[in-house]
Amino acid sequence: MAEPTVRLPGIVLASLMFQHVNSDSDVEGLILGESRFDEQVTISDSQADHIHIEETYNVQKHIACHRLNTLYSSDGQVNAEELHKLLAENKQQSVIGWYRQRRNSEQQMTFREKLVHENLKSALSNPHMIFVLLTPTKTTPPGSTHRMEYSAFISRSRHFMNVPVLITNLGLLEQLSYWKVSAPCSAAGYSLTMKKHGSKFFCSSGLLKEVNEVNKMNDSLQAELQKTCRDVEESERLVEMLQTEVSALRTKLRERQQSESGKESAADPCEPRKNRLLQEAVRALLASSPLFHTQTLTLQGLPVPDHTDDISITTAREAPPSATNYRKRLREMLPEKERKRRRSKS
Amino acid sequence: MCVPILMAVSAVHLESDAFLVCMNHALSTEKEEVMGLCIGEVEVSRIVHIHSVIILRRSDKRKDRVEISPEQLSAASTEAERLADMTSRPMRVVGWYHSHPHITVWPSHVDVRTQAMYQMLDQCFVGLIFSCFIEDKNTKTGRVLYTCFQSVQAQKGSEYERVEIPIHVLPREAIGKVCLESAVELPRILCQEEQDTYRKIHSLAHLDPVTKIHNGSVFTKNLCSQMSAVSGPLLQWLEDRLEQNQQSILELQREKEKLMQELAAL
Repeated sequence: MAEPTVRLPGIVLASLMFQHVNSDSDVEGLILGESRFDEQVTISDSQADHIHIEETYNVQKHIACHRLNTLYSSDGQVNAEELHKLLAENKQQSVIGWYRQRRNSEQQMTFREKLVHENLKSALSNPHMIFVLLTPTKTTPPGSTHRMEYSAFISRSRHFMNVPVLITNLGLLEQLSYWKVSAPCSAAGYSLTMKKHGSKFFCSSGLLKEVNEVNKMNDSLQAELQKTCRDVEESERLVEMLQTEVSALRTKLRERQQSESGKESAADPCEPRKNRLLQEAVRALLASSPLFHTQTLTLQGLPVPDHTDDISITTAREAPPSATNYRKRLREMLPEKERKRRRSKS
Repeated sequence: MCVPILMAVSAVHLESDAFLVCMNHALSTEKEEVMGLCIGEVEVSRIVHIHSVIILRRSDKRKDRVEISPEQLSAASTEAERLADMTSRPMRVVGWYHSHPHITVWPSHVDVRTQAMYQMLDQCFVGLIFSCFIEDKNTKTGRVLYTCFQSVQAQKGSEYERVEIPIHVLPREAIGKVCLESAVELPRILCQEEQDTYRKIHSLAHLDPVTKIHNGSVFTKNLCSQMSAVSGPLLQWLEDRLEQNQQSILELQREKEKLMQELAAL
């Protein structure tokens, strides 16, 4: 089997990088395009005919997830509702993979990404999907040079392998060169043929019809580009304006809600909130030692025992506080287990 | 003992939409180096803030001969003035960028000398290089790098050496009008270059009809390559961006109405 290839237009890679620089966290989303499996036959004298399948994944665009980790749950199960929301208007057929961009990390799939990839294949009923991983890093400490690495992965029998990513560009297409000289031919038949068929190729002005037509086609394409560019520009300004308005409304609403709740609390002060989770964590991590509980201390920093034993109080009154006394008192207070634990630590 | 050099520029801030245009330009071809100019302003804090870029045609396409003609600089200055009027900010040409396809991101000695020459006219002029189409054959991992530099006279001799300048890409979710116009300028420039080349060839008097038909086919083929590799994907991206924005507009309008209702209820 020939090596699969992912073909990615330069503008799509630039767009992915643009999306990530505008985010302060990881970004992820779906990749749309077309996957092709072409049969290639290699015939050779030395061996029998060899048929291999050429796999090509042509990436056309990407759809970003609005928020991270919404496409799947923490255990890698795909969120069908979120997937459906992202793929409106029957775009499901053109999903050929998904991507993730994470800063300062390795070019390796994580365990969760592998799980998500397998689950996405099932959810979209597409056994041939790619995962594109982009990992930007700062190469030099002052931040004068930055690097972004990218690669694609596919899974074969749950085994993941890297596939090369080819950035499609003008340089890949062979640029033919113009002929600047003609090989002269004075044959009469040659001149006759040129005269007979010349009008099919040339206009009355001497320009080539084909050149005219391709220029017109290119002009139309440029006009489409300009028109769509203007539409995009308008939509960008509208989005900016709406984002500003929504942001202002959110702030106003928050302020109003705060002032309303401020009035309520003045009328009815709510009881102070206790951080029960923190309390439970402290109890679980740290042994139930009286030392870690709230204690009342004397001015000398010695704990005041809870029990109102006359003897201990008398002892405290009679003997001035000293380190020896403090250690003795500690011994009395600590349970045996705790003393052993403290001894083993020291 | 090393004496620290105080450069006129402390850092470069490149707006993300300008970064998008540069990156797209650099990734448009792996066969030759592309170049452009950076438009922006220099802040009091010695930070060069790049707001947009201008894509340029290369008259000399020899390897490592990325130079900007005085006419191009003059045209770029005019464009910067137009931007200054549009944005009411003191815009000017503040730097240049070019690509290094298949080669290291570090500037060559020619690049360093070219940069030094521009710095003689403007000590805040900066250079950006985008290195792309680098692939690690073992890991099958592709790589894109970008760097920012200026030049300084070397301690010994009359040569110049590079000085690294920190560069930060500033987030900017919306794409500015100027950057969008620059992006769609690329296919127009490519087409113009091809048309100019073809016109020169076609005007040669001694070519016979077969040669002319061949050259016409070459022109058609080259233009088709541009449409397929550059214009087509760019148009696809613009249409997708438009669709995405239209979706965002609907969601934002819904949220705006909801927020206004909540405010009215309070």
